[in-house]
Amino acid sequence: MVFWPFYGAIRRLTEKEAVYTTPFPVRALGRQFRRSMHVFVIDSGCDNILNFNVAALSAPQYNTHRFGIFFADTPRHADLLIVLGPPLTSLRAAVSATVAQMPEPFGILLIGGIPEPLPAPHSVQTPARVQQLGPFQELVDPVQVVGFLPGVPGPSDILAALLAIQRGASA
Amino acid sequence: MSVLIGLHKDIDREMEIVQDGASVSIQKPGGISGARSIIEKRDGVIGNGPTAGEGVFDFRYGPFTGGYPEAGIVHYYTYGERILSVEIDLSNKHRGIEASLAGKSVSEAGALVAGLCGNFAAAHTVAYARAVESALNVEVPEAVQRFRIAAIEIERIYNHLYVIMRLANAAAQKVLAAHLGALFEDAMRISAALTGTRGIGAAAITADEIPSSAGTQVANRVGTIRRTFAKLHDRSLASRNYLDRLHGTSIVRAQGAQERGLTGPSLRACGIGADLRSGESLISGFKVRTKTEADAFARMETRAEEIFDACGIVIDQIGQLSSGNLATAKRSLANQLAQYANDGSHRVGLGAVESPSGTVAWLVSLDGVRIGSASVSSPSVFGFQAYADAVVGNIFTDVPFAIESFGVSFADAGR
Repeated sequence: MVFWPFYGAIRRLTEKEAVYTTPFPVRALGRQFRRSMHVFVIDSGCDNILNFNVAALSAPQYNTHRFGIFFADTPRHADLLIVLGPPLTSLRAAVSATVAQMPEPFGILLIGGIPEPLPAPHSVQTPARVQQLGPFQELVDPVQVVGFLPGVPGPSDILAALLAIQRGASA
Repeated sequence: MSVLIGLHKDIDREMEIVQDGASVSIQKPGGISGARSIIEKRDGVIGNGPTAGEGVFDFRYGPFTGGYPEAGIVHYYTYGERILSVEIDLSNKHRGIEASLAGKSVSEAGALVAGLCGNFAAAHTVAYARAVESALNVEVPEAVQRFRIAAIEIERIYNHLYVIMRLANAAAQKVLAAHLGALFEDAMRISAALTGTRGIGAAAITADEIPSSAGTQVANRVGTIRRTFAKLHDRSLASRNYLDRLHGTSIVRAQGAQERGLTGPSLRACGIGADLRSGESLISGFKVRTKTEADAFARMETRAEEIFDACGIVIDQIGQLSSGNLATAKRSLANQLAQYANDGSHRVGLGAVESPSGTVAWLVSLDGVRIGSASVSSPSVFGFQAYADAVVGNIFTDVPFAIESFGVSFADAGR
């Protein structure tokens, strides 16, 4: 085996950016996040495979740092909150408390907890848009929601959505 | 040693799920006490209780933290450095899945079972399928059995890689963690190539056929994981910083842990060679991996050796499986199950699987092909209890190594 620091460089594990496209509705978070976006992830009741898929985003194949996407350890340091799974009753208060900790401006990406058909994220709140949030309607402000990913998206789907949120180029 | 790992109520009689070495069976209640109190408390708080004293406070960790990705609450009682006792709240992810199965058809229930814990989905789904097939006395074709074994072993590979990656990250071994992350992602993609879904899930029993070219590809890719992991693992053992964080951390007392339901690699790292795979006739030459040190390093080493074994088992099982005979075998199984469509008889069946973190067992009571009641024994309940017992006396900086080395999941424990 070659000298450890060169091992990764030789293997060229990182994939081309072109493979990441999302068919799901997302909107841009704001121009100031184009070069750097910090993400905090919470599990509001998923079956843990979404946690594994998010963990896989740290793999060299995805290399999220090249896009300026970083994972934060606290909501206070984050620009985007990712919520995994439908909110369980026991975790609803904790979800609300976490949203309240996010510094303005921020966005919320809901993964796996919204029944289809998916609403289109919009920067203006209406009663209909609140209704579309389903189990999240008392927990998050629809104005803050920048995207919805249904089911169990893989890391490439999640990265595609993050890039679209960062750059404003939803597929 | 017979160990109680689960309880079940069928109409008005109680049953116990008991593991003895490589076999799991149903027994009448009252024979073994051991883990009963843990099983009865698993919808709430387990651990070793609160501690009071001068300067002692409750450090509540969770449910959302940067350090642990899953939602769960752990109360550490400490005066600021050494951990005096631990309480773990398993209620946050309790979804009532067992109760929700009642009245469902066996196929509807299968989808819910797969969603109990995504990273142990193959183990839960196969254990559930075995319980149903045992209740209905259905003969499972060999091709289906081999496909299931391969699915479970791929699940073991990516779960073990995940655990070792998390340990490397906790020890600031970022280069190692990145390479393990690449292998972890490869293993997840292999599961998608074999079954159509990352994380396998219900595909472990419902996939009709392996895509024609996937078999050879899967074997080649698993072989690459084995070779690459061997190099990385050898290199990692040369890092004294890494080893120092794991050696002597959160030592499990073997006898007590087994009595309290611990199974899987965490128990084998204590020198107790209990592994359900040693009773599987289709896995040839299987050797149970054990260590004696019972610390976080021994648990990591046990998992590392099991990755090599699991790669060999996948290659062997896939090599004996072609897409044609799997599809035929699955039709045969479906036809056998269909014979019971109009049969309302009451039956009970038990199925068990060696999941990546220990024994998963499902006990189902069927009325015809509908679920009357179902109970699951999930390894994370006992894994969390063992963690709580083992981490006492350690200091706070040992916590990530301690908890990750058990490979436990709140979704699995919460059900």
